[in-house]
Amino acid sequence: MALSQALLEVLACPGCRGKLLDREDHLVCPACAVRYRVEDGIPVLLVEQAEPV
Amino acid sequence: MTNSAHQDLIIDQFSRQAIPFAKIPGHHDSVQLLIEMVGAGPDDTVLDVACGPGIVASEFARRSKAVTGIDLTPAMIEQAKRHQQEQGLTNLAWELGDIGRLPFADDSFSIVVTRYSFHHLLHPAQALAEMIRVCRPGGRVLVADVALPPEKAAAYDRLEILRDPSHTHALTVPEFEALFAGSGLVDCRQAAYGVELKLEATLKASFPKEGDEEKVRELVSFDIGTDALGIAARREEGEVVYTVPIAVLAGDKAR
Repeated sequence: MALSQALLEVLACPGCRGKLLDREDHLVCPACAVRYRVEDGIPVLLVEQAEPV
Repeated sequence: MTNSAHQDLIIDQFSRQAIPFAKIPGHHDSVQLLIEMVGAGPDDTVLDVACGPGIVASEFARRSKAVTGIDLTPAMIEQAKRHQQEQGLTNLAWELGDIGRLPFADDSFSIVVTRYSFHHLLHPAQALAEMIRVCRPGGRVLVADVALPPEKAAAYDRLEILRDPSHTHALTVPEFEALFAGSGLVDCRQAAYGVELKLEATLKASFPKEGDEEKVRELVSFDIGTDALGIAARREEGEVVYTVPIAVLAGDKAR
């Protein structure tokens, strides 16, 4: 399920508050070099669960 | 306790509470009051922080443009999605995240609310600051939670920690007022209501440590006529019932 454009505009990295990039099944924070998974359309935006990219 | 150990406690409790919590009738009342206090309308974009099973988020969604609900517990978000589908609402989005580090840009929403979350927090002032940060200038921020008179707070906290080990401290009414007074919010306003609960039904929806259920039962039953706990415990038609006092504080983010 795709995330809406309106939501993507306000979502930010919980670590640095920087913009996130929408990549298939993940949101990527280029500044922190981590990605957050999106499970069944639900972004998991927890610093503890970020995966390095 | 460390932040992450405390988060684990919250997730453990609320994974088990996810279904029974949504079925307690008192949790569906009073949302109207919150909506009125922040004046939600068709242009509003709303964030419901620690949204639990999405009861508040879904009510706001009926009269706002869009609502986002965020919670720490996956089982709660699952319930929230289900509740949304049952209600046939389409203007809701859900996320997993932490109130202490909201994953949103500054000034993202016109209304930011949270209900029944602050008594689980280790750092309530930080949470309120985060809520204000993601709210637009001119937007509204609202917190509703248990609030006891200062002289009852310690006894109430002891009771609640037995019933729900993820409870930290219910702010007292003056603590709540001081939190808002020092927050930078303007035009602060306040309301109060009570959530009436039946002791046995509440215990069924609770997951205390082994042996603590009986302690909770005794503490509440013995408090009838004394009210050291501040919850007006009483017997009605043979059942022990009590009323949890809730404070609602709202303010506007300065333009």
